[in-house]
Amino acid sequence: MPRLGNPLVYDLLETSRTLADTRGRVNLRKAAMRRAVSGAYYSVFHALCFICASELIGWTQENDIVEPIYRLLDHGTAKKRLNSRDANLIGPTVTDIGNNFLSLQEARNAADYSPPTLKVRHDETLRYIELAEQTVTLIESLTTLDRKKLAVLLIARTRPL
Amino acid sequence: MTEQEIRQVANEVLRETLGPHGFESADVRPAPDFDGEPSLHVTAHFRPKAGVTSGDASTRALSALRKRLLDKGEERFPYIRYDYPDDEVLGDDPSEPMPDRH
Repeated sequence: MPRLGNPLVYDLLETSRTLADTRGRVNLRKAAMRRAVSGAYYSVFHALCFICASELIGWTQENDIVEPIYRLLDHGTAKKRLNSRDANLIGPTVTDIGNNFLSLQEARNAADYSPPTLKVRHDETLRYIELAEQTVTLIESLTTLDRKKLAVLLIARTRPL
Repeated sequence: MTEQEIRQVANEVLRETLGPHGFESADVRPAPDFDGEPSLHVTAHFRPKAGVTSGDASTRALSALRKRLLDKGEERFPYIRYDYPDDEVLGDDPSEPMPDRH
């Protein structure tokens, strides 16, 4: 499957794997694993940002044209829309992407916002990274039409008919 | 759906999808997610030496569970945590104890 044209997606995943294997003090390893889970979520988030920008504007446009569209994606709106019937109507791959996105977002929220007493599990951290990698693979597999539909779902303003 | 019904569905679906990957049983606890939305927190317990579940298997399990619950009218999202008995759990750091809280 051809990679998405956004290297940040893959570098965040690689960074997460490196962080998950941090050695040293317990608190240092906990902090590193929490960042690994967060990075895994952001890998998928940036993959979706790329889809919006590349399908609606074109990835090769100048940065001051691409950036406002790239940055339109909102975490809360993405959660709501990926969990909606409209997402399921695009197709089962988008349903899978949506389910994984919600799961990763919940894990990211715990990792980023819980107090330092949060217990952290090494293999579970790796599992979230695996889930993020699979989600990126699913995004890569979308047809051009489904990518466009997904982009519109994620960032278009909805108006009542 | 009642908690018992949800637990039964979760065990059935996860046994089908994650059984080959070492799944043993599931617990379910209704609780809000981080945004305060009503949700289901599912803990999937695995056999020792099951290994880290692949992204593909996790995806199939979550989507199957979500679909089965929706088909039965249950709209709360199931967040699944994977409990590996031989996982390394990092709790308090003995070299940096937290201060006592009052």
